Amino acid sequence: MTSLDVDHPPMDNSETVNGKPPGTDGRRRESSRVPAIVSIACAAALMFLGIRPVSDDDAWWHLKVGEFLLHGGAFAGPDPWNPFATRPFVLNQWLPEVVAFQGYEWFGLPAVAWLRCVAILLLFTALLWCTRHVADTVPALITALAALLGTAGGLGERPQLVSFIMLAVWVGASWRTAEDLRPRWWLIPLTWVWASSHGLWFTGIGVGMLVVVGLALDRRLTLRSAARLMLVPLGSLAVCALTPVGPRLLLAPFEVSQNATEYVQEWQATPVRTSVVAMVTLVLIAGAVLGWIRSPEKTPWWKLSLAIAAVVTTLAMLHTVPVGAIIAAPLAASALQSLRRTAPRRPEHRSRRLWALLILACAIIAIPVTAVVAQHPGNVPERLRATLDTAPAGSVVLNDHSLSGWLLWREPQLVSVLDLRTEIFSKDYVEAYLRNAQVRPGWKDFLAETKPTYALLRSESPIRLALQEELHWVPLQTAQGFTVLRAP
Amino acid sequence: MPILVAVTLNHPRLDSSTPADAEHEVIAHGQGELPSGKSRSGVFVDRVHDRGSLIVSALAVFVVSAATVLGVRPIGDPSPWLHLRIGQYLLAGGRFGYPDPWAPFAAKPYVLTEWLPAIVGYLTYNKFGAPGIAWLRCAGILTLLTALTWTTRRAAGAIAAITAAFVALLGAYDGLTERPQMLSLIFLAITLGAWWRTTEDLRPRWWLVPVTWVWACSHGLWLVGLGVGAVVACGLACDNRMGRRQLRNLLLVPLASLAAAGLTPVGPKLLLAPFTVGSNARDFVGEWQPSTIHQPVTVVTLLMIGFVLIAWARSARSPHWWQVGLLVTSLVCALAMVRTVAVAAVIAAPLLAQELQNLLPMRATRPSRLAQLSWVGLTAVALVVAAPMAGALAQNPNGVPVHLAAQLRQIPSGTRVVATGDVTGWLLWSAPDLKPVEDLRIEVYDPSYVRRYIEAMAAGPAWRGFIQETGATVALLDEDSPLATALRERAGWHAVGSDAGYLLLRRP
Repeated sequence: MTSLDVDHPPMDNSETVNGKPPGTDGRRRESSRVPAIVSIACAAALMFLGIRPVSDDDAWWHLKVGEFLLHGGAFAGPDPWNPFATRPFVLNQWLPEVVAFQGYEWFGLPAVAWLRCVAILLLFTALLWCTRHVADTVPALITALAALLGTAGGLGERPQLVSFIMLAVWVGASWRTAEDLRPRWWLIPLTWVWASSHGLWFTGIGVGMLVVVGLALDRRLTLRSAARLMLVPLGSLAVCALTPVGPRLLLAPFEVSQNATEYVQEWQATPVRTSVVAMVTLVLIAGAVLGWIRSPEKTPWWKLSLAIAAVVTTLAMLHTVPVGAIIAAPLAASALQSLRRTAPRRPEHRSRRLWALLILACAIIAIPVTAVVAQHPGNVPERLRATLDTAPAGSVVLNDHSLSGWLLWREPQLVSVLDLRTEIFSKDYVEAYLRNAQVRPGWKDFLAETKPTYALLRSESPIRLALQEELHWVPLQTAQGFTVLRAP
Repeated sequence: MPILVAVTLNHPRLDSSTPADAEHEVIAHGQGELPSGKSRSGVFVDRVHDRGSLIVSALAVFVVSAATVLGVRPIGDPSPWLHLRIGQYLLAGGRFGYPDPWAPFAAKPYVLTEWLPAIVGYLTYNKFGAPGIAWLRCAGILTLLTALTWTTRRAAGAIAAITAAFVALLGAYDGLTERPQMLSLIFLAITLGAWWRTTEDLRPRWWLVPVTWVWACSHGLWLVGLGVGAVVACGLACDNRMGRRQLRNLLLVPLASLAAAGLTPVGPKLLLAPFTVGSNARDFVGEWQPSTIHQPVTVVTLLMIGFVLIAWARSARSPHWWQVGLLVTSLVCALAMVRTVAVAAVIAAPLLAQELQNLLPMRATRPSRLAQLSWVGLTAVALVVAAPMAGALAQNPNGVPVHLAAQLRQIPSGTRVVATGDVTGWLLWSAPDLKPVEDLRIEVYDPSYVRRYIEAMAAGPAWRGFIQETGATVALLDEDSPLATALRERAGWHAVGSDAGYLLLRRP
């Protein structure tokens, strides 16, 4: 691993750093040991982040969807599981769901945990592809790792990991386009895969458009070349309508956000002071901006527009902080590189191969480790399953929202009153659920409407207490912070 | 408004804080576009100059009118009632200590960080009622606008300065309530203006020391003024504009101000008050929670900051470190918590003005005495107009159950009341003989007690225990609250009145 960054001729790059041509006198050579040590440290950090039990609330219903599709389910239509749903369920994350379910069928839960670990390794590699283009190995690794920390809130075993990888690829490709003004047509089929994997596909298209508009503002494009470059994001948008879900996929992000922005925590606006990931991301952006404002050169619009996009997505909602971190990664790397007062050296093929080997080794090592660590899920009350199994099939369960995915997966014979796919329920219905959960006036109306005979609730919740004290529900079992109750 | 015609007449160019080169650049660039005859921007400059006075007059009238309209409205904040009660109590000879005279479950003595406006507020209320408080708020907003303009006008010409001051006022909107924090914003704008002047002549403004003493008697944000001073002084040092001796001289101003804050009637313990209040409030009080971009004021303030940053990034000149320091301070305040967004807007105001000025094709000039008098006259007219407006619009406060006051006063003295946090200030004011189990002075309570209170309000597992332990026999609760529902449905309490969304409940 000693040659991740070794001596090479300077990049054939028109960009200069602080007016100096790349590779001129005064260039400080990076020791080959330091990049190797930092690379291995990064790989170890990735393994640490990636190997843990399956514990994301959403992972379970994604497995359920994968199973549903592999057994002949339709990509869109009335919801097959929840009778209280009033809106159709659009399967806009079908590809990773199918892959994860197949992995689960073959190898059990460790396969899901391993897939997450691999996705994190790939995300870091994609980030490094962005940052290494504008910085030497060490600053590139540091900023890629910082960006990965910025995405830490979204590194669960969910399809959104695919979005983060794709976005990093889009950012890296758009950056290269900004330098050579050549379109990257391969982004179009890539976006098709993205659109089949997760709903954040539009962020990549947005990045592509922003860069083209920024280049136009910088007067680096003719009308013809601008139109040609714009064809890439527009073509990508068009292929999003060609997934098995059909053209309705284009509207899916808005449909999801209708309910989610109001009721789902990760869709709430980012409270920066209490969000470490947001702080990390803003520090990355601030580093880039500070470099720009203290520089005697004008910052090009395309870079400014990327920085603005990073700030907006970081502050918009917790869900999009990782988007901000990914967009900010090359900006911060570029700023860090400018402290060296030299242009970055282009990575050689050998160092790329070594990195690929290192990642491959990590992925292989992760197999036996996840098999040990991830046999049992985390954050779910597995010990209550025996009690839940006694409930008659078709019983309606007044459930804690966070457990609905697990309930759908583990106890498919039961019916949750509300599940994590908030977008398939009406706003009034979600309001009524919340009123019930908070035991506010009229809370019993929701019970009258849904007629639950069982409840699976947090033991310390007001609604658990109210059901017991006022309606005399019977607690059957309490474990791992949750209680199962039965109606009298 | 003919008197306002003189707001921007020709005057000597502003000195160092407004870069002359940048202004020349704007004009020269424009002239380069049309080589023959007069340039397009040159024509525009002439037109703006011709009509400049008119534009400034119209802008000033609009801004002062809008500020007046913003200011004259009924009392709607939950806090002024607490301050009125404190003013009344102090003027009647009362003093706070331990045990607390009002709250049976207070664990610490209450530190009077806002005694001066509390007394002024009470005296005003005593003479003019609720409209008097509304008028005071309006006066505060207009004073803040004037202080902001005094600051921004140093960094820019009249149009940019007034525009930036008004945008900052919008960014500070959530802080423009009938509370002592309005004074903090005014003092902050003045302190900022003073330090901006210091960056020009490097002379210390010693008058900031007594100003900080008054500030420390009025509100707990006096520490921010000291911070601004320290940031500017250190920034000037980073800019290599002065030696150690000068830096020491400048830093003596915030240090002496700190000492002055320790000499108010509250004594040296005032120096620690911001931290003791913050330690409880950060966990439990809404306005101490992190700000988010779902709040319009945060968006306005971040747009101010973003505008300055983009202007700097797109400019060939580098901003001074002291300016960078101020912008970073503003950004941190904007994102830290809801209540500091207003602070951020005030700090960003002169920076915004300066960058707006750089976009305008005309020179920034110093304001004439006539222009200054015109502004004062306009503000005085607005204050006079606000008096009858306040009398008409602000007779009845909003958000408090005034129709329950008579019932509350009939309840035996010393009765313990569990009440929604926001209404406790009004409860202390309208029924001073009752004892709330928790009130707005959150810093006097033990954090574990506050946690139990919050859990009880949510009808969590310990709600019965909390009610029993506190001995509350009366409740004044939001009618949509879980505790009101639990008390009625599960404990048999009955509602004896309701008003403004609040229920008055009594134990059976």
